[in-house]
Amino acid sequence: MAILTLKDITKKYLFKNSFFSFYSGEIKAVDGVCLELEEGKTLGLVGESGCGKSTLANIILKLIEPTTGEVFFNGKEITQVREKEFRPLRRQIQIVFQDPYSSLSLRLRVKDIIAEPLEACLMEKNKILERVKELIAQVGLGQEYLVRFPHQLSGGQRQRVGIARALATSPRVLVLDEAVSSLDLSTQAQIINLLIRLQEQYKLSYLFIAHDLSLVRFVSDTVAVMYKGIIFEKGPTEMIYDNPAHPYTKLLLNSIPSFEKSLKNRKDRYMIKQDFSLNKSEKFFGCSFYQNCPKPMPCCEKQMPGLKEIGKNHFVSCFCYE
Amino acid sequence: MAKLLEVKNLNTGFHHEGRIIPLVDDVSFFIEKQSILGLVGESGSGKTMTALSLTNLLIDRNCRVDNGRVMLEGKEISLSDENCLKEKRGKEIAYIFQEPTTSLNPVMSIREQIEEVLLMHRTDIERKSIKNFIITQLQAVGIHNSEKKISSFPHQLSGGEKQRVMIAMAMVSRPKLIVADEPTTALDVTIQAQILTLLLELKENFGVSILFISHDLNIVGQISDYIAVMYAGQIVEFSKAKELINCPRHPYTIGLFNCLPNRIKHANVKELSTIQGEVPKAGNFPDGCRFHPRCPKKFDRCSKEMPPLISLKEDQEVRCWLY
Amino acid sequence: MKGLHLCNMKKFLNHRLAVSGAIIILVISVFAISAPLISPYQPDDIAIGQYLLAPSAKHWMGTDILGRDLFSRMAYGARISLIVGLVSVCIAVIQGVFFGAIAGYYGKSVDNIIMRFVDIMLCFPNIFLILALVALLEPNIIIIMVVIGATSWMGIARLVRAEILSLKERDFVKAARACGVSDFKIIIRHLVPNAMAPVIVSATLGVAGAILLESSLSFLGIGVQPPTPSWGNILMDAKLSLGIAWWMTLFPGAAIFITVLGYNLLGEGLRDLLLLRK
Repeated sequence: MAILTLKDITKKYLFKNSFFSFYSGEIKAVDGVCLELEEGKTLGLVGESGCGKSTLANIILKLIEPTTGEVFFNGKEITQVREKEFRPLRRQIQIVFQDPYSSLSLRLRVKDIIAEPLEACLMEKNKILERVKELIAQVGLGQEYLVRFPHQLSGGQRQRVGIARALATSPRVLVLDEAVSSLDLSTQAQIINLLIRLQEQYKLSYLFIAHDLSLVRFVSDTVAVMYKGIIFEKGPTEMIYDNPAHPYTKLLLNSIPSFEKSLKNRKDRYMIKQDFSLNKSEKFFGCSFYQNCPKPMPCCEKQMPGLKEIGKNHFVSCFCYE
Repeated sequence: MAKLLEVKNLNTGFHHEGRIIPLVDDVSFFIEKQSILGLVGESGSGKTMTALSLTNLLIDRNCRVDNGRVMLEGKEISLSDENCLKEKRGKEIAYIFQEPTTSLNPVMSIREQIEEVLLMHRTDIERKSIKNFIITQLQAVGIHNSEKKISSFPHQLSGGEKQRVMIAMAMVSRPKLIVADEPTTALDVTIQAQILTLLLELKENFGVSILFISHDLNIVGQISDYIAVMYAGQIVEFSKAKELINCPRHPYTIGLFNCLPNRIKHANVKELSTIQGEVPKAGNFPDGCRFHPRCPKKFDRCSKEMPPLISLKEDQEVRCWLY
Repeated sequence: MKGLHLCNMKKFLNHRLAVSGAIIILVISVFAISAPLISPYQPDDIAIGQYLLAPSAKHWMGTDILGRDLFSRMAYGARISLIVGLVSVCIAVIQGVFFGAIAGYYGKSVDNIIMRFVDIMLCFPNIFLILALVALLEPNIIIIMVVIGATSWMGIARLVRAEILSLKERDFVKAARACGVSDFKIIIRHLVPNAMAPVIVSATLGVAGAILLESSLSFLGIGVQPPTPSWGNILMDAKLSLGIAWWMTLFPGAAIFITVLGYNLLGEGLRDLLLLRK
């Protein structure tokens, strides 16, 4: 059974155009997203910056409320639950952030940072230090790091501290919001290996948000491709990477830089005709990829296609497959 | 092919209370005409410092080029003569930086910003035809609808468009060399692929050489004719791109390639291979070979003596005692 | 303070402005603290017939119109002036941080109410508000401190709110919220310490302002009441003998000037060190 299920999640932001209007429009940061995360598996979420990946992460952590839709954790709906009742569940879903520089409070020592979630769930004082020592060893740092401040650590070490904090309350779901994107290549590989090891050890489920497509391929069991708040394609990793169905997925995969591919022989590739930019005032009901699609059809302009299963567990949102 | 730029024994250091912390240490390389040199390395390896040292464009006044010669088309650029350098910057060596958002002035229109560069470096264009020239420039870097875009402000453009404007600005003076410092890092993959193709086209069509700096081995491998790998302020390997990709020699280069997740073809590989340890910080470099604490193939000599750049064959140099 | 580790001592000592400000403040503070030790007379001892004596070996700064030793009055007055300056700024900081933090963190209507209240407070000319309050209440030193504090917290509240608005979007705050840390703890542990740098600068400059304000009030006769000496009311006494006794205006005037200068220098120095770092 899926440990985390998102059902039709939509988050709208209203904005004002002028002083006098009450409101004059809305932006859908996330639009009708359905996802399932299986226990002990990794779901990779890819998409361009500003496509709503982080908004989705915040909704799962209940840091912001979705406009409509439901999030089920372990079969229990959590978006409607009050903060007080939700507190015991909080420790089950944790997050690791992208920027190891802003995700740790500069004024606290490493041991205080890791101890914070434990204090929040009212663990006994004498057990906390023991647990903190255990955690820091698990993420591969020596005990001497406990008394240091974040600014004395390197990027990779900070990210390890971030992981230790997230693991402190023995969560079952870990949201990795671009957790390795800002690290150097050799450090990135170390952190990925650490995450894989921890997943095996604790049966953790990962929501792996990233823009590095080759990395997502390596760590994920299933992949979802997001564009302007909408899931365009989702399915088992190998199926998506070997047989991409949606034109946007094809474009993304084609754009992965690789020293093995030459740029010159890619004349046949798709081109984004217009760079991605938010056009607020326009009302457009068609497929959001319409303007950049290499094979647009008349029906694409009129409405947004729904998700359709084209293979086993392989869903695509495109009229080519209707 | 003829060499456009030659850099010899470049040393740049951070001067602090009588101590010199080396940031760029004995760096030598060359760029051929109409070719791309990829400079790859992890953060803090001195890539950007090397690029800025070429025209002594160091921001911090404690940083100084201590030593080294830079030769453009056989003529030496005097790194201490600020007037001479000002002439070279922008006109013969143009820069493109990582963040297109902060590189453009938010209160000036695109036209004004390009015009500014234009008036400084190009006296051959008549005032009347400036607007048309700018429009053709913008078209050349692939900006659609450039008649309209010319009067827009930076915040009205997307990240990719801004970077294209930056490239247009760099190209206005028809420089001989473009130094592109992580020009695609802040962009999405789809846009990144387009910008890389654009740079290749500029090389083909205008005969410009590019010093392409990036931390991403994949991108550098894709775009470059030559590759220089930097580690801890030094070049550890320099050779033709094909050679380097097919047969990396330095243990660090080999390690970097192995870290790449797209190298893994089999589903049953569970872990990425890594390089143990952390990148050393400037001022804290180990004695001997700077890579030896992390090197899987180290032996006694490595911790005692710093290896020089050893020429294996023409255009291939490695800084390792193994060779 | 723990939060100041970012600005290390060495950098501070290399900063000429900050160090000279600190030295001035130190000297004045020592002068104030050791008032009973160094002053040759009691501040309200009246020596009959010895009024308006020029500075001499017996009376280092001369005597005033009632024959009191000016040096002793200056020393005791320094205590009052400095205490008023410091305590009223403390009150302002506590109030400002409290309201600013709450407004910034909770946002929406809470923010709206607090900030509109701040706007309203800022609409009143400060000195008239204080005049009105002091006229209603009995002017004693505690009332003066509270009134000055209560009318000068708005700037700090705005600073703190702006700082917290940007801080609360940072990942470490999100991480704390995701662990279920209580709002109170997030504010106290994560937000306020990180927002303190501009507050410290503003408070240092604020001490100078408060000392000036107290002097003005005392000069107008509604501040610290005689016979308790403060630099302001010494100056007021000097008003009567302006033409004949230059020492009566010079010493308190200079004292106020130097102290205010010291706090301003220190404030500017701290601004350089804490806020304008790269």
